[in-house]
Order: sequence, then C-alpha cells, then structure tokens
Amino acid sequence: VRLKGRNGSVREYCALVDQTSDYCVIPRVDAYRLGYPEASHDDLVTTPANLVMVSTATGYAQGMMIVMQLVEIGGIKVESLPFLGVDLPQVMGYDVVVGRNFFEKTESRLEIDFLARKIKITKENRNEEKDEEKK
Amino acid sequence: VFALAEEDQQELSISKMRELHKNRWIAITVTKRDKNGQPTAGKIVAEDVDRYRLRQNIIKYNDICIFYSGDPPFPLFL
Repeated sequence: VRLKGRNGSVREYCALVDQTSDYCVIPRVDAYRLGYPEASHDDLVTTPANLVMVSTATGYAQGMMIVMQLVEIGGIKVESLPFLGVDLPQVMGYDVVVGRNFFEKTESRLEIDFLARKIKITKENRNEEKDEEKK
Repeated sequence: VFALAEEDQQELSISKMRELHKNRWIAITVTKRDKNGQPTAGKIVAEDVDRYRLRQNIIKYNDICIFYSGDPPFPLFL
C-alpha cells in the first residue's frame, strides 16, 4: 500500500488486509513522518480531539485518528481516508493494516485465494448498476 | 544495523533482498514495478531488526518503501 501524507512525503508498506478491522492502521512514528505530528501525542495531561479508544482482539488501546491524504493499492486510489495511529507489535511483520473503511470507500471487491496466497482487489462501478436500476 | 550511502546502494530484486536479509525490516528506494504498480526491485537504504531504529536512518527520504523480510508468525499476534 502506498501512502501520501499531508507534507507530500510518500511511504510504501507491505500491508495486512484485515476484514475485521473497521479502520486502517499506521504506526504513530510513520504518521509523524507523513506530516501528522498530532499522531505522536504523548501528553498525559491534555486530551486531544482526535484521541480515540479502540477495542482490539487483545484488549483496549488508545489511537490517534488522522486523515491520510492519498492511499493507493495497485490502481485503486482513495483520497482523505481516516487512519488510526496505533503501534502494532513488531512480531506481526506488518506496519500497516488495511481495514474495511478502505473497501467501503472504494466500493471494491476483495477476493482471497488461500491456496495460492493471493489477494485480488477489484473496483466495482456501482454507479452503472444504479443507472441500470433506474432504467 | 546499517544505513548505506547513496553511491553504495545496489539494485536488487525484492526476492533477493528477502534471501540476503532474512527476518529484518528493510527500507528501499523502488527502481522497478510490475504492471500492478507493486515494487519488484530497488536499492536498500537501511535495514535493521528493530522497526523504530530503522526509521532513524530513513528520515531524509521522502519516497521510501518499508517491508519485513521474514515470514509472518502464525497465528498472528494482533
């Protein structure tokens, strides 16, 4: 997945596609480098507006909500996609999680081939279907 | 742990990088892509066993690709 931040920096990651995750996730250090200094907020006194509590499979955590300027997977591009700034365990081997909000926004179809270890993401043109329904 | 100067960086395929630097975080500048836009080759800028130490060596790069060269553990620890 290729991410373009608010300051124009671009970072590309090997991402984990997680259908059970509501939001996409990025490490806070990378959010900072992409031009989102608010993601690395560690002040225990004040509570910023973009601080959110998230429930994960292993318990509750705090994350910072940011809006990524541009997200690209293959030829599919999404602008202004909400991301959660949360540090995932390094043992995972992934930096970024692609969650459901990416697929909802792109109206794309996700096909997983477990045997071939391949994921295919195709963008559907729902407007054409809607046009046909109208006719 | 290492960070390479630009003149020392060699172009390698992603599979070759995975062979040479197993179970490490690698930062590369992409030189080749497949028809789907996914990186297939590049130049290693830095590599490290620690995700956060790697970030210290790639601050000056504005367009960079980062990946882990090992196999993800199973079951995944999320």
